[in-house]
Amino acid sequence: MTTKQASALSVAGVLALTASAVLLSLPGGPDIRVGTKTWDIRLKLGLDLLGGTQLIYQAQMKDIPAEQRSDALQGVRDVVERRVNAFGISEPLIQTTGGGDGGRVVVELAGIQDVEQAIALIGETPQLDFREEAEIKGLTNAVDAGGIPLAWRPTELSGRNLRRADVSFHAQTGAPEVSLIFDSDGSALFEKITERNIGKRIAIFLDNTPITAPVVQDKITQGEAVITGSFTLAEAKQLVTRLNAGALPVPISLESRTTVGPTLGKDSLSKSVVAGVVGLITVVAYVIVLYRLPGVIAAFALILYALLNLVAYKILGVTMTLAGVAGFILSIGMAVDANILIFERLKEELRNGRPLRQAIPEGFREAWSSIRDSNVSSLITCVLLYALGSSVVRGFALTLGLGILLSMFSAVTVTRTLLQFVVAARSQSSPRLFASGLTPLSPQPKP
Amino acid sequence: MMFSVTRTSRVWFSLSGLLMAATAVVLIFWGLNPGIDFSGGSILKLEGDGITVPRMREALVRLGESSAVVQTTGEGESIVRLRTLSTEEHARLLARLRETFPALEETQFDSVGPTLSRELLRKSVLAIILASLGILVYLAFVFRRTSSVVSPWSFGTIAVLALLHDAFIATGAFAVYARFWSASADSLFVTALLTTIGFSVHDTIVIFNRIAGNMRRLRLSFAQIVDVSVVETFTRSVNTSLTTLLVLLSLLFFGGDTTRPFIVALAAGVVIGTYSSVCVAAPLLVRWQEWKGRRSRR
Repeated sequence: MTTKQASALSVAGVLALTASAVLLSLPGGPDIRVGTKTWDIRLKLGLDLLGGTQLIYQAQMKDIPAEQRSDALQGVRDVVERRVNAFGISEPLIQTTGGGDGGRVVVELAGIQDVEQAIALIGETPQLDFREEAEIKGLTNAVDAGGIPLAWRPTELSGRNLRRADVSFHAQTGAPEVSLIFDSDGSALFEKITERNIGKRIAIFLDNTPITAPVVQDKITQGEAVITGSFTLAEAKQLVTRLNAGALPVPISLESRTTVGPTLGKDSLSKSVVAGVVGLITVVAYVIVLYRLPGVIAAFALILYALLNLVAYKILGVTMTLAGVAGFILSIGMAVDANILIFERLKEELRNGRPLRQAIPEGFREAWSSIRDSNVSSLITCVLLYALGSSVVRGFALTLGLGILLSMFSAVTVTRTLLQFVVAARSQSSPRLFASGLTPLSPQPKP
Repeated sequence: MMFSVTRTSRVWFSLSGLLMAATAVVLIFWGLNPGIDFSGGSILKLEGDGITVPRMREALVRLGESSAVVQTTGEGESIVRLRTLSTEEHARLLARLRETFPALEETQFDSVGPTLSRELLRKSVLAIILASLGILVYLAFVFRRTSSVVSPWSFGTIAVLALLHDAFIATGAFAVYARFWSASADSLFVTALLTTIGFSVHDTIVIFNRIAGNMRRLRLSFAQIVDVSVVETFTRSVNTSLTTLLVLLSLLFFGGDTTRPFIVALAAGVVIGTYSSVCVAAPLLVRWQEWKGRRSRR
């Protein structure tokens, strides 16, 4: 196909990209459906824009051997999550991170009102204990819908006595099972408990919630037990993690707490949006005044670039914080820089007497090495910020890094496509349209 | 006559020297007000009738918190800064304070423990060092083909010196701002510093790139090549910094109060970064070459 046709095709591609970007970035936009999975793409907002509390817990793992630490941390995380869910908070964010003596759990609660209560409940060490069936006066064999007794009497056997829990497999059926190993006190206690409860159930309680209630088949003397039941492998693993978490003494201490009031959050959000829009408009105006026709192309490319960023945040599930907004807005400045580099080069080629049709690809080629090198150094900084920073810093690094990558794409692909199309479409394009509006042509250096 | 950066270099070096000395003075006498992210501790925001700074301070000292710092914001709110408090200590302190100030209400309580804050400080310093090293190596690689006249390591070294110069002065500018508008240097400030480093190098690289290109094309002395390159890229440097500043200014005026110190630090960084790339890095490169030439001739 001719150059004109190729250009037209590329432009059509750009327009299609723009259309989908606009669609996807609208707040009420459609979700992406791939087969049976629905991708819910709403923009996730961080605490400083929603209001809420962030708590960072340190797991004290000095007494835990290294191999068991990640399991212990996972167990702590699960327990914390269950406790937080009991509050009915929408979408709490609970993550584990490394650091300190074995690991930390970061809890972000959006919009929570009573921080003190949340802290009080979360801060307890996971509690594991074993209970036997009890009799409620007047009601014999009270059971719930699943046939499990409702009344339990605590025994002396607790998490302190469980040395280890593991996943094992039934010798014949291969079904997943959970094996328990008690210490010497635990073994003695367990023997007595199983002796008096043959045919009845013993329940294992974690944080006062029964997680399993197997029926005792026999008296157990070796201090080992296997819980059989209809476990999937995933269920067995989860139970083992929880049991070990309850068994290992992992106290957690609150290392840090920060809050953002909800009104401050909403206020910051609206202000940031306004600032972003104003910034974009100002830059667009400046670029058009400065570079005339290419400026208009750059303006379009910039707006597309802003939309592409929004879509990227939604698809990648980036959580927007105030620092993230600043990173995005800053990357707008860098996106302009790439365009400026290209246009300045273009002006130079024109000044050197090259015809327009050749000046454009030459300009791009020369500018690309500058763009690439300067952006790579900024990217190095972003990568380091992401690796070493706190969550606030990470948000900034992520949006800035994404912005830099997208700006390289937008400048070289979108801008170039549109420029080539414009030149191909109008066979005599006056170089005046490409001259700068403000700065005069500087004198040629003597060779 | 064309503007020659190398011939006017004495002006720029003196200016930079002055700025760095001023920064040193500011940092020594005023210090950089570290936020609880780095120093650890807690911040309480309290409201209520009858709370004045001297009365609150007196009450705190009586309760044994002699290191407490009390300030007021404009809106009838007091900000108290203390050592790290555990949940129980915090509850107890509030209860005891309420004995003196019955209408006391706490609007916010933030607390960061010492291990977390120490780690953050360590990581921030590490990030600055690693960023500088990474950039140094990357630039040496990018400019490897200029080794006949100028060692590639020179480009990297000067770029890193320029960025350290920028980070230093930007810190001083922030210290001045922090002093008068009571801001504190938290992890956002470190982010601003690292961004300043990234931008400063961004700018410097464009100029160096031009110098490297002209070295292949023009038959002039190194100093003349540098002059020409600076003039040629001047428009672009100014335009880029201006657009970035425009964006930052809109954030400054229309954005919220919480990011204001952050934006100020970024804006200072952009201005200083552009200045250093054009007026300091380029002539410094020439001086560096001359100095190395003199050394090898001895």
